[in-house]
This record gives sequence, C-alpha cells and structure tokens, in this order.
Amino acid sequence: MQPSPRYLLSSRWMAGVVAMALASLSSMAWAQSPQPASAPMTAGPADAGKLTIEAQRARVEQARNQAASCAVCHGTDGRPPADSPVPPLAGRPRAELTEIMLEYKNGKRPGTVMPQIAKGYSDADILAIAAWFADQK
Amino acid sequence: MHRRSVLKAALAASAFGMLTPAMARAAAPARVVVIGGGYGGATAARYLRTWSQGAVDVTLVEPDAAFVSCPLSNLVVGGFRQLGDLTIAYDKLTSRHGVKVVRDHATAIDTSRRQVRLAGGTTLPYDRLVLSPGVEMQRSAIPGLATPAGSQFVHAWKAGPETETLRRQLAAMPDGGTFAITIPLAPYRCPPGPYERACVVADYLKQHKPRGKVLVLDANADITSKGALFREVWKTRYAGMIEYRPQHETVDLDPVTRTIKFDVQDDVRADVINILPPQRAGAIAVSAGLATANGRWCEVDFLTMASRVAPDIHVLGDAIQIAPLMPKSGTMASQHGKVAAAAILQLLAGRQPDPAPLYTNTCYSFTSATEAIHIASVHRYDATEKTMLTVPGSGGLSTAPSALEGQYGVAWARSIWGDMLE
Repeated sequence: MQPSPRYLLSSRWMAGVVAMALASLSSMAWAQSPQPASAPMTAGPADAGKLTIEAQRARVEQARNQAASCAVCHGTDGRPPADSPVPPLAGRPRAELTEIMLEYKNGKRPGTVMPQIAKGYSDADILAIAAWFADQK
Repeated sequence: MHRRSVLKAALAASAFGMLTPAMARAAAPARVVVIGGGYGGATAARYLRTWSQGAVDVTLVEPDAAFVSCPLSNLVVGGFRQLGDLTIAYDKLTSRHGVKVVRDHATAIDTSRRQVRLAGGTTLPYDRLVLSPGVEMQRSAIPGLATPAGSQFVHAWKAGPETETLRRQLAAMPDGGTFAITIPLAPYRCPPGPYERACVVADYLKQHKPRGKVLVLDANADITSKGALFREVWKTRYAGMIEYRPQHETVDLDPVTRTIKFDVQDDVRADVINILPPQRAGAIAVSAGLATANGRWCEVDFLTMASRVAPDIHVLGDAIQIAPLMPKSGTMASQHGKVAAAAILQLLAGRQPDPAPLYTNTCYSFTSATEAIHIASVHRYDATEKTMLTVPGSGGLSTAPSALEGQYGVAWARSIWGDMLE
C-alpha cells in the first residue's frame, strides 16, 4: 500500500519507522551508565521522534560498524564458520549478550581475549552492539 | 520510480541503515576501485558491496590468482601446514558479492583524472579509490641480496612461493646447522611474526634436527611484541636452541660465505639465512606521492582512512603511518577496510562519516606447532588528538602459551578469511 505523502512525512510515521528499525537500540535508554564523550546521545522510545531520522540512522550504523569489528573471530554478522570453537553472536538475546560482556568487563567471567577486549567498550557500546547482534536473525 | 516511492524507499533504507548511494545520486552507480586483495582490500571490497546492498560498483585489482595468508604461514615454514591450507580463491567475492576482480598489476594512479592504470594497458576510472598495497621489501638496503648469488635468500614475509622456498631450505639444513633470521628496525609488517617464526622453526628442529640452532638477529633494542612471553618460551621449551641478539642491524650479506654483516656487531655465519629487509608502503603508494611519513608510510585520516594528501584515496593496512600502539597486522588491515567502506558509502551519499570508529586487534602467535599466545587491544578514535588511541585499561596478553589459544588462532584465521572472501 502506498502511504499518502502527508502520512509519509509526518513525524509520527518517521518515529514508527525508527521504532521498528531501531527497536533494539531504543533499549539503550535502559543503560544506567554514563555515555562516553564520543558516543552520540541515546534516546529511548519516549523521545525517538525528537531525533532526526538522520541521527537515528547514524546511530544504527555506528552499532553496525562497531559490531563488524567482532567478525574477525566471531564471523560475519556474528556467524562463525562451522565447528569453530568461538561462539556465535547472531540472533542471541540482547540481554544475554549484554550480561556476558558486562561480566567479562567487570572481571566476573574468565576468558582469554574477551576480558581484555570488553574493558575497551563502554556500557552504551556494549548495549548497542548486543542489540545489533540480537537483530541478526 | 514514482517520486514518493523513491522518497519512501530512501527513508526506509535510511532507517534500516542501508546505504543506497545510487538512489541518492539517481544516476550511474558510484565506482570504487580497490587495489590489493589482502586483508585490507578484500575486506573493503566485500563490505562496500554488502553495506551498499550492491548499489556501488566495486572493482578489485589483484595480480595473484588467489589470496595466500601471511598469518599461519610460519607453520608452513615449520612443515606443520601446507600453503594450500592458507590459500583461498577470489571467486566468491564475485559470485556471492558481485565484486569485479581484475587480475592485473596496478602500475600508476592518475589522481587528477581519477584513473588507475594497469600493467595490461587498461585504465579504470574511479569515484573513490581504496589502496591496500601492503609493504614493499627494500632488498636494496642489503646490497648482497642484489648480487646473483643473493637471489637464493628469501624473506618469506609475503606468503607464497618464498614461504615454500624457506621451508625447503630449512628441511635441507643439516642437523647441527644454524637458522638465522634478521629483523629490521620497527615499524615493519607483523611485529611478533619473526619471533613466532623462531619458535616454529625451533619446534621443527627439536623434532627432526635436535642439534640445530635458531639465531634471532634483531635491529631493535628488544623484542618488539609479546617479549616476556617469547623469552619465557625460549628459556623453557627451547632452552639452548634459540639465541636472541638485540641491536643487530643487518647492513649487508655475503651470499657466498653466508655471512651477515651488521652496523656495529661482529659478523655472523649461518646455514639458512632469512633476511627480513626494511619495509615501506607498497610501491604504487610511494610513486603516487602518498607516502608522506619519511617517504615510507601513508598518513591517513582515521575517520575515513583517506590519505592526508589525496582525500579520495583511502589507504589501508600495513602501508599506513600507524596510530600509537596500532600494529601492522591482518586484523588491523581488516578493521581499516571496514572503516573505509562505511566512510566511503557515507561520503558518496553526501553524509558525514561515523565520528567515532571503535575496533579491536587480536593477534595470535604460535609458540609451537599447536600452542599460541595472543595480544589484544581496543582502539577508539580520539577527536582531540585526531587519531586512534588504545582505551586505557583494556587489552593485554596471554598468561602463557596454550593449545586452546592455538585452536583460537586457527579459528581466527578461518573466520577472518570467510569475512573477507566468502
């Protein structure tokens, strides 16, 4: 169905698109930790409509870019090759991935490289990356 | 397409983070040429296609028929792997991702006309150029290598025929012989690689030529990467077999008497001599005037990987002037490739690139045929310093070599090869 131009351009429609596309990222509002200086301001469902669609798009893309870094060990989009000892990330619940990363970061989960890598990511980074992988179904 | 349909599609594409420069331009697809099919270039080519949903025309120029990995190639020198295990064809880049692969040498870049000239005679026009030329081995820095007898001495620092040559030389060495590896002053490709090679060669000798020796002749003042771990392995696993000599800068070689000459220290004779010459950015980067750091390395804007002197040329991998604590590694080249791909698509669409790149380096070194150690680091863009800086408190090293990390090292290779080529 073709939306009418008026509907198309309404901020409500844009907020709807953003909410669908960024459903996972909107969870960043749950983050209790302060944002790093370099990260863009986060917004939850309540103010999704207040950000420009460009700002929303840029934020999704930043999460995608950050998640792409993980592919060197975890495979493209978090899908490692068959029989890899490295766990997949694609499609796993956001809360599970976030919890594991925070445990690595806070020294509560043993590992080889991951405890060292997790310490380089802010809580907001971790939430955004976890949300991005959760969306890879 | 109806105007509002176009707008709808553009908005939807925007919202879903998919870039469609062709839509934005409403004209012929943007053309990106990628020179070099290594870790940086192949990754950039693949991600330019994936992230643009196939909207950008990508041509990869690569003279070799297949990718051959430098990481893991020391295991081939030691006889623990075959070169074929490290070789992957480029065909899936074309069949799955629509990258046009041109098997040729890029010989020159015409920056004003935005064209790449190929040895075969054709020219390729580009809107954006990705240059991932690797390193040039400066064999002329060691005059003895340029003599006819000098040609038998290989660096094997680009995986391929030289890797197998060095393997054969090691296999032919008599028990009780000495394998010498010389290391240039940093920066050079793969900082821990020479020390890994010493370990793997020693593991081979231990099993097959137990009276053999490995001499590590390093121009640097100390081991440049994973030093404490390598020292411990050499002291324990390879006691009396590996000897490390710092501050040995190789200046010449007598290929007939097999004697290495240094700037200060006494000459050294060895049975197999593996000389790693000084290195600089690949020749095409130097001839295009992009090697602005001491005429050796290409300075880039780390937000886009664009050259400091040619903003529509994005330079990746070992050829760049590195940020602090950034190694010249395959993982890092791959990360550069993704930053460049994302930034190019933004720039083609008239948007600002991601203002805060954030990525990791994970590098495994084998200390034997099966055990490995790692170094990891996290690099975040610093807007004040305008470079990538490691995040304080992050990163680190293995506590000791392990078979588990050996498995992770192999898994890393399979994963990153798939990410760039499959």
